[in-house]
Amino acid sequence: MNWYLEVLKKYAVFSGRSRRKEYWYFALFSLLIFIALGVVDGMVGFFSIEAGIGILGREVLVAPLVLVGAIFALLMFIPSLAVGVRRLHDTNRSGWWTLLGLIPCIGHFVLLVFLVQDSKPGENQYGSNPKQLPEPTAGLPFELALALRYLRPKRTFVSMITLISIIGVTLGVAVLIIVMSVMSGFGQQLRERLLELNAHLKVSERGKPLSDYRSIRDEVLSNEAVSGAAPFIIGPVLVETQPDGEESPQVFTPWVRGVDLELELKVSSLVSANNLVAGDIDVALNGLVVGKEFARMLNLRVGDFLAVHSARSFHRIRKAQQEGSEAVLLPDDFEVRGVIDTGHYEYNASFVLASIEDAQALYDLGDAVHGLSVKLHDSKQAETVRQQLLKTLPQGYVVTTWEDENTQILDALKVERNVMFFLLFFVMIVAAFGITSSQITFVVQRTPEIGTLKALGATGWQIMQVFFAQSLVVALLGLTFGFGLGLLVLEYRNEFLELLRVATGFELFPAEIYLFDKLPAQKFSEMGGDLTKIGVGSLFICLLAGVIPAWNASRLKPVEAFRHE
Amino acid sequence: MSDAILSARELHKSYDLGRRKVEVLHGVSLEIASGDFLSLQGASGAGKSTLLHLLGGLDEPSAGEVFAGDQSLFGMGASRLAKWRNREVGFVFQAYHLLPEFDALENVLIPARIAHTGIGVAERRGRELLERVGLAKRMHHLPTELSGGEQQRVALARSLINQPKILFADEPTGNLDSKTGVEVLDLLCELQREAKLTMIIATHDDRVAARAHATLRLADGLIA
Repeated sequence: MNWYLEVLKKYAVFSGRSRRKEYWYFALFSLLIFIALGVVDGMVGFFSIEAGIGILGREVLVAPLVLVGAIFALLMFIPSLAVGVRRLHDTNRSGWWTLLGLIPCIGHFVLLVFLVQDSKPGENQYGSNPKQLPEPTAGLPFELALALRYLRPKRTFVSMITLISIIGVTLGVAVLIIVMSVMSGFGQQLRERLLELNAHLKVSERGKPLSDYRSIRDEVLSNEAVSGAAPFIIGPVLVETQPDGEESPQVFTPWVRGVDLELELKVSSLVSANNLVAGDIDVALNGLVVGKEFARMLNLRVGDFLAVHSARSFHRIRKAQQEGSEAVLLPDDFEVRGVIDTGHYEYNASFVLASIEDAQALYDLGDAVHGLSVKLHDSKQAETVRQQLLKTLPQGYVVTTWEDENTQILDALKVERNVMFFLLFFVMIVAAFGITSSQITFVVQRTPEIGTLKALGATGWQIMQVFFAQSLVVALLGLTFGFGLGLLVLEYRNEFLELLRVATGFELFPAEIYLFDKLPAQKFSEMGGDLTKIGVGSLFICLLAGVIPAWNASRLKPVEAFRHE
Repeated sequence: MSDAILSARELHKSYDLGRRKVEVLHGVSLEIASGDFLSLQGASGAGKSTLLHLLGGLDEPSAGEVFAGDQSLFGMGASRLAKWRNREVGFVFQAYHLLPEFDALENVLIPARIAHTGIGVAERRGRELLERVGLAKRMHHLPTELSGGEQQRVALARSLINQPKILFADEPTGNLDSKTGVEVLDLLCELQREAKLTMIIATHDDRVAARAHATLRLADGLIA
């Protein structure tokens, strides 16, 4: 850090010499600052693939950051040029060698070789050997300087123990960030999917089918918050495949959903042409549209026929028995006209779409339907609109919101997320124990030196600061790397999973269980809250972990410390 | 009493060695006047170091008091005692106790940095001191790159950086060969004279006693 400031002080000094330390520390800190700016950028969503193009608000947010990065780069240009020239002087070369940097590859390589060379001993035409000059010790408080020095023993760049505790924190933080983000993304995606396929509100009549659905629909549509309403019929059916040739038929019990194609488009994306995998979206006159998993399971192709038994069949059989007639009830034959992919595994596996009329026939509803799906302009208003509709509609109607219908799954998701956070935080605590143990080792190792410092008049508080500062540095480094690693893995999560799948054949998130075929994650820009929580929480835990060893060190008596030898 | 810069009254010090309790000092009283140069002699294990540590506030006595002027060392509280050690006292140890990660100049500066002295002032003084002890060309050497005599000179410079009134030296020549020992001893004596230091050297080196103004003999835990 001092070296960095030193270079800034000599902002445009192209004369004199710079030792390796000065040059490379400057390079290191510049890089770190760039990475930090990059991480902030990433968090705001600039580099995020999901960020999309249309979100203007984010661009406005990002603009100043990009500007800061650009200004920083611009400001650093002259001092980095200057320090490069001084470094070349130090190796007894002219500063003009800097121009090698203009030659790609080879030039860079040669320049690099020059820049890592040791100072030319003694004086040269550019000045005296900088290694004989004192190192800059400006500014940094003694306690912090000491802590940093201890973290970086002379022989190795960082001590192994320090490195291991940094890695511990890094992994803990990264895992927390990754899992929390995926869990949030999972929840968000689930809500979005639920919203796509479910109406925001459902209107039905209490205890019986909705008979006068057209006028109720008009009534509902008159509410300003409502953007669309469509009738639906939903119920289980029994289907049997009709394979040609030797194969035996398969039986399955999906839900049939009766839809009015035109009206349905206004309330959900279920029948949108985007979902189409094969065939057409056509349900007229005993036509069916099925989900892709359903088609796969029953080995169905467009044009295949399915025999459909509904509850009505059993009514009729019972009726016929009571009347003593021997009527044979044949199932209705439906033709598969289209295969769709709703992006939602459960829907793909267990829904078949039929026309309202066919569904009415299957359920003997006459002209009635089971209810109305209502779409709102804003899904968040579901509860308000529900209240309004309950007032305007006649007595005996029931209005439910999509959240009511999915309470279980939404609640489960929330609980799961909280429990996960709690559990994963234990990983952080374990990492923090890593800091404690390495710091304790460190204090024991440094006992004679602590004694010396105390003999020279350092107070317990000062000693405590030294060791506390070490924990702080370890924690901050761990956090920084953890954030970097976490966000990096999130960015490339799907590529990573794909690699894992290809390499080991192991599917970490099978679609059958997780409802989604791609691993979701929260957008970086929306992770602010979680990241803050993780950052502050981890820092707190790590510092707490550093308190005990620091306290121990501060209480050592100078004489005891000497006797330790 | 008030003219004594440092005085001890009835100092007892005992150590717990497992079940046994060993008393090293049996009630030592002494007075040291400002500018005195005392040698503290006695056989190994007689309690020289222990007494020195107590006088310098590095360890607490089991009973008794040490006064710096009128102030009781062990009644002033840990942080004020630390400050006293930092500003008023310098220490030189047998084993030098330099910090291995720091070069000679940085080691010399440590007491000043503990005191949060301005870095410019401290550094100027540190360089002067290192030049004074003959290490002008060794300022940026690490302790491992220095000989024993050189390390002890660095320690000597370190002990003087905050311009203390009292200098304690615990067997300063104990780890040195006799020629280097004499050199360090000469230096100590010169510096004591120059700065009118009060200096107490614990040693069993008779050459020290020969130079000192007076010699205290410690035998069986008492000043003989």
